[in-house]
Amino acid sequence: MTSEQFMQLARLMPEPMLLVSDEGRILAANPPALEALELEEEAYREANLLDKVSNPPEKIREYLGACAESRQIVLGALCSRRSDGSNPVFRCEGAAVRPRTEEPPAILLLRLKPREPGGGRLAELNKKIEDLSREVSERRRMEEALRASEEQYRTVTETASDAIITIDQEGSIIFVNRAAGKVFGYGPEEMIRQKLSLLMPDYHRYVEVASAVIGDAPAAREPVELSGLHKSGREIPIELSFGEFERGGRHMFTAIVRDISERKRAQEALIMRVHEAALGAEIGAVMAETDILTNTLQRCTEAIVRHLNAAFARIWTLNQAENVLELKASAGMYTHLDGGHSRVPVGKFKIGLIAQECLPHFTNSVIGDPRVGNQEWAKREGMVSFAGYPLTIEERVVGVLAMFSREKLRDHTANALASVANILAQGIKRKWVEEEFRQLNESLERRILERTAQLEEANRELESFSYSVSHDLRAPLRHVSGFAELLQKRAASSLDESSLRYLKTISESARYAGTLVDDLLAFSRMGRAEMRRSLVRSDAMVREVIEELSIDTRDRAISWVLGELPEVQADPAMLRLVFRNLLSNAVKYTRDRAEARIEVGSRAEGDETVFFVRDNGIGFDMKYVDKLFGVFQRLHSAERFEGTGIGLANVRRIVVRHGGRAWAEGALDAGATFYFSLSIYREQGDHGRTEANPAC
Amino acid sequence: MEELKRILLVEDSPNDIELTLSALESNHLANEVVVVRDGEEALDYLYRRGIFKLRAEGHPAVVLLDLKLPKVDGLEVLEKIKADPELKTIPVVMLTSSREEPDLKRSYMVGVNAYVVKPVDFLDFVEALKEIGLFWAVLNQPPPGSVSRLG
Repeated sequence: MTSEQFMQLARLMPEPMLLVSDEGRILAANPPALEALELEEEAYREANLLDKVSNPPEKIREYLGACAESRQIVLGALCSRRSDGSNPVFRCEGAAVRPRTEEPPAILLLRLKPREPGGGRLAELNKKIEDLSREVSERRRMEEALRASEEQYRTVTETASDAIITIDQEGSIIFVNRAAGKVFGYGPEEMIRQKLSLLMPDYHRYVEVASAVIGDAPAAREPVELSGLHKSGREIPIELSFGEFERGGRHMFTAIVRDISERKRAQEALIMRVHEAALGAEIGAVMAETDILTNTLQRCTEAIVRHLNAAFARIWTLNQAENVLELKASAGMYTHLDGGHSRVPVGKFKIGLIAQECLPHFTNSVIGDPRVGNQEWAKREGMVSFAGYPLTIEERVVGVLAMFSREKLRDHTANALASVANILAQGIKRKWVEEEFRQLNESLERRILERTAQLEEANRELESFSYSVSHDLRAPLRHVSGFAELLQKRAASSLDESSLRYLKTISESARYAGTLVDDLLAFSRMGRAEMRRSLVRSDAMVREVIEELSIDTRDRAISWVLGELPEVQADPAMLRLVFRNLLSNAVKYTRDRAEARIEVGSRAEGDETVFFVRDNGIGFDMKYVDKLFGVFQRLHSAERFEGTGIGLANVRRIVVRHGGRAWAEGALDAGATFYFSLSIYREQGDHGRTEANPAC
Repeated sequence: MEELKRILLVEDSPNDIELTLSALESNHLANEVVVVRDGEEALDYLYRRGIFKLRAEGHPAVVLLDLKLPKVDGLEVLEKIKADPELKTIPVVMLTSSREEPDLKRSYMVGVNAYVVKPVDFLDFVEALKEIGLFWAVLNQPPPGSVSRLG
């Protein structure tokens, strides 16, 4: 009960009435009370009852305490302290208007009755007043309690930030709080008695109020998200919770409505941030791949469209020579690279201006933007925003990135685009360098191929020349040999010794020349013959070659020592020739030895097998080692060791064609070791190396 | 001695002709050797036309055919012989300086009976011809229709 309410009521009372706190502070007093206690109209509110009576203060406190604790009327006596020295005594009836148990401090109502002897009319009147007063007091207390509960409710609802709307069974609004006005833009009076669908046109879809109206509980009590309708006609994203209660036998529903625009915006912003981050990551990844520049740029525009929800995105790169921007990539609603935007001169149109000014252009109101030339198009397509960024490297423009969107672009998006532009510029620069490098490489490779082809051609010509020369030489040599032989047969008896020797020399020379030519032909053939690789058991092959040689070595003492000889991938005919040449050399150059020792073996070195043929023959001076494998190179006189000087050349040629190497070690009169390597045979995977150059 | 059969030598080099004849002679393969100087003459002989129009019937026991010949070269002659049902049974031996794989391969593809590279050394050459002559002109039974010198 407020002081004012008390006063209104108490003014009607003829007897003194006071409203005090349980500590005795006077909260209100009616005129008779002012008079009785000699209180001043203006100042009594600060006064304390304890100062205004002559009762001992502890007694008064005890009395007030009793009133505060009790739900009954507590009787007592107050002895006023008047300025004229009189101390009239009043009977006092005290009751707690607000008991201490509810909310301290307790508020007490005191009614004073002059203690006068006698009864009569006054006593009767007093009695009536007393009854009336008690009645009023009781009633007030009830009202107050109710009022307090409503106050509490109001306080809660008014301070709530969510809109709280109570509707009755018919869906009519019977209560709104202040926040409801804020959310929906209506004044309270505009909402009361309206249907809830005014604010939430489709709330029925979410909340089964209809079923509640006929007595069932609402189906949806979990908060749901739906659209509210602002007075302005704007849609508001809201979250709605529905509660049901009963009041005075009537079902009521309370809708708690939360404006989640902010939350939505935050969510969308978060999603955009994620997209922006994803865009950055994707652009970085695309840039890192080794694709050609136009493909890379195209994938970047596609990423921008996908992640930033652009209507379309485009990238131009600068053609420096012509000072023109060339459209290299376009994704979204336009993907063509030809047409009006394919070549934009620097300084012309919005794109050209971005390049010229080296400044981004960003707008969220495409309609009306003076730089957006085709306003009609923009209107028709519903374009809202445009963002264009120069792609710069060290303050030099290398291109322009631009996008149109049907949505507003936020600052974050603009920032994201700016960093994308930066990545793109760096990427373009790198791609340019790569492209240059690649072109350089390609031209280098092309030149190498051309040169190789020329060399191969020259080699082929040389081969065919040497072949035909050798071939044509054979016939006359055969004739010389043949006729010398015939002459010798016919004239042997009539020729002197010198003539016979001459004839013999002619025959032998012709034969030697023939062998030489045949060896040369074989050598030439070896270079041109197709290689047919297969798995060769080198130990069996070496044994066969030794067997073949044994016809010429029957009268020799040769001890053959065979080591590890594995299977290898090789052309069998060619490999046989290699062993034959090396072993026959070893046999030949150990001819002077009383006991020849020839060792054949191999060892694994990395992914190669290295074969060796070691003899204890006359050896060679290491300073001539480089000449050993050359064609027609001989280290010994023909008288001492016959030969044409082609055998080792052939060995090297065959080994090189197999992708291996051939070399030798030796010392004069201390034997020689010849080595050659072949790649190791593997059960699976590659079967040896491919032929490096068939013409070598 | 066995009945000796006719040999057709197709060779353009006079030196080679002389040496071949000499080698055959020294091997006592005294068959009748008909020498023609190019591919055209060889075909004329086999088809009994031109200057050979009036020659006696019958095929040679063996044709010794050089590869490089004027007018029609040895391979073409070989191809003609082996493509003709009448002639294809005649044994043909390539007697040549070439050891080139393509020549060898083509000859065998067409159906040559033997392929001999002429050795430079005359004694080796004599030896080679001896073997060819012995085999084809003496040991080998030619197909019916071949004529002997005595026949």
